[in-house]
Amino acid sequence: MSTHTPAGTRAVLLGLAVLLPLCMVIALASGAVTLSTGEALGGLAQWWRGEYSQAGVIVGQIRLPRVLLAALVGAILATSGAAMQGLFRNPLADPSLIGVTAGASLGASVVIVLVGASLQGITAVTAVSLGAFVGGLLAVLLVYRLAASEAGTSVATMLLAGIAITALAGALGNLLEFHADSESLRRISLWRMGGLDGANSQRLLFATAICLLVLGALPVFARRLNALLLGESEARYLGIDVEFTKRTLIVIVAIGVGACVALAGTIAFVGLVVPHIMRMLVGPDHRGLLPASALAGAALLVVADNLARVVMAPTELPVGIVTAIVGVPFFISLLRQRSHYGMQ
Amino acid sequence: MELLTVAHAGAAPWGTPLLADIHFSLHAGDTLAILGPNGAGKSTLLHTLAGGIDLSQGTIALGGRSLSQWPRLQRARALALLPQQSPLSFPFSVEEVIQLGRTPHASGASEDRQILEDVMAATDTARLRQRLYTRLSGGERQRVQLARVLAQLWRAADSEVRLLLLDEPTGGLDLEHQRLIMDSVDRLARGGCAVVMVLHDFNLAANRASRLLVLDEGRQARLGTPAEVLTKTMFHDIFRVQVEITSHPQNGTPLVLPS
Repeated sequence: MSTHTPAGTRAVLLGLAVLLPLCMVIALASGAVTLSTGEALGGLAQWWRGEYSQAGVIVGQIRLPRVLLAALVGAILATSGAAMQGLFRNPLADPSLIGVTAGASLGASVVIVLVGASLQGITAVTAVSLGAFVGGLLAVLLVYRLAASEAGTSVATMLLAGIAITALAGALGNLLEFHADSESLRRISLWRMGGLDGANSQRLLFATAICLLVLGALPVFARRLNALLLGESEARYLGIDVEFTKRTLIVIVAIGVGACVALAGTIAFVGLVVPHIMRMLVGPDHRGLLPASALAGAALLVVADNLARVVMAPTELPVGIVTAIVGVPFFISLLRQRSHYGMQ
Repeated sequence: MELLTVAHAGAAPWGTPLLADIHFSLHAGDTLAILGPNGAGKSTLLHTLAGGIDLSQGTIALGGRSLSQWPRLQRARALALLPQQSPLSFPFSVEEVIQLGRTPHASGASEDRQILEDVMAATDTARLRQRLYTRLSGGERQRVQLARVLAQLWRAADSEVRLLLLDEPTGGLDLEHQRLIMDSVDRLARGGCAVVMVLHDFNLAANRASRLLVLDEGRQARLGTPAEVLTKTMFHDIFRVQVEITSHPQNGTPLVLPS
């Protein structure tokens, strides 16, 4: 087993930077109306110039927002996952471990049950997103408060608190469903499965802002995350402000993942599997791992959403089902082969 | 000027006092070995000296300034601690782990490269450089962690005062590597770095440290030169064993023989 070199990391990043646009173009070309790559690119160009040809409308207005949203959400989820795994010093950590996903789900359910019937269309979608976002943030703040003490934040306590909050949010969600009418129930379950079909310019703008925040802020902490892998007191002796680092990372990840859940529902395994694979390719150094995870997460979710659209066309599968179906077997094989690449 | 001044220091990290009334000082180039039975507070003392555990009483001054008043980064350039165990479980290469020791510094890539080569030579880790840390044996990991800590303090230009804290640096090492490591520590001390190390081997301590400090239930039971500290009564009172003390045939330091 050879180790990772800076040259190797650059090669992987370059490869991913080529792969991502390729995946996006293929996604733009495929769907209910199949276009060739040339037609898709041509349509995109026409739409950009303001010519509303059939290909232009399909590619520019229907498919492009969705593909872009998939890429943004994938990048946020994967980068957040990589940062959480580093922070918890646990390669199996997932953003949902700190309660964001469960809290966001509950927030969304509350909004759907309380006001879902009275709101229609875009207002309803926005309200549900806001509920998920707030729910996710509240959950992670609660987990953080439980785990923080004068002596600092205990990672083990935080994981356990995350489990507790997840269970509590799940129970409250079930209680809500118990009292919900069948229309609300359907909405809740659809939303939970995840989907990118609600892509529009407002959501894209929101996703872009969050993505810029996450992808801009997390790499600033790359060296600190590397030092944290040695252990918290070791990082402290290396001059790292450990408490500030932990607090800031948790808030950034909560915002990022909460927003993703709000925009696209719960999308499983992107935050867990992508950083894992990237660590095999570029090593655990976060200076390479974070950007590689962002690119790969974006590409993976674009491909997964594309599959969700075409596999059973014209019926669309929720993208969360696709990522789980692809992710779980892959994840299990990773677990079995962990020793092969030096992870303990 | 004294490099490290510990005055009546005590610590109670979890409410119960683990250290009380520790009182000693070190000059540049001094090496102090901390000895004591299990649970006497040796590691606690080391972490307290590093600023990782807050004082409940007394003061610790590094370079004439209270330890808690040192800015984070400057302190990391002045003192480094080798822990007894390190929880690193991610597959960094050996080189990457050692380079983490340069995290608090801004000395530039080429300088760091040179330091990396120097500390790898000093710890015999150069041939492990491309290996994954997670695949190393216990003794190899110990040497890599030591190289990381040495890299943090290697350059005299990085800080006016330098304090190296080692928790059982020779644990798990064979005789050849024990000697190599202690030679590297000596070299750093000759360069003006003060060294405090927890040791379990009395003869190694007598050979390598200028002074010994014996801890017993969190209190400073003895402090002095090896000849002053390593006596039959000390072993009887604190370690509750009978020993014979002779002197080393070559350099005359005390030699402890369990009987």
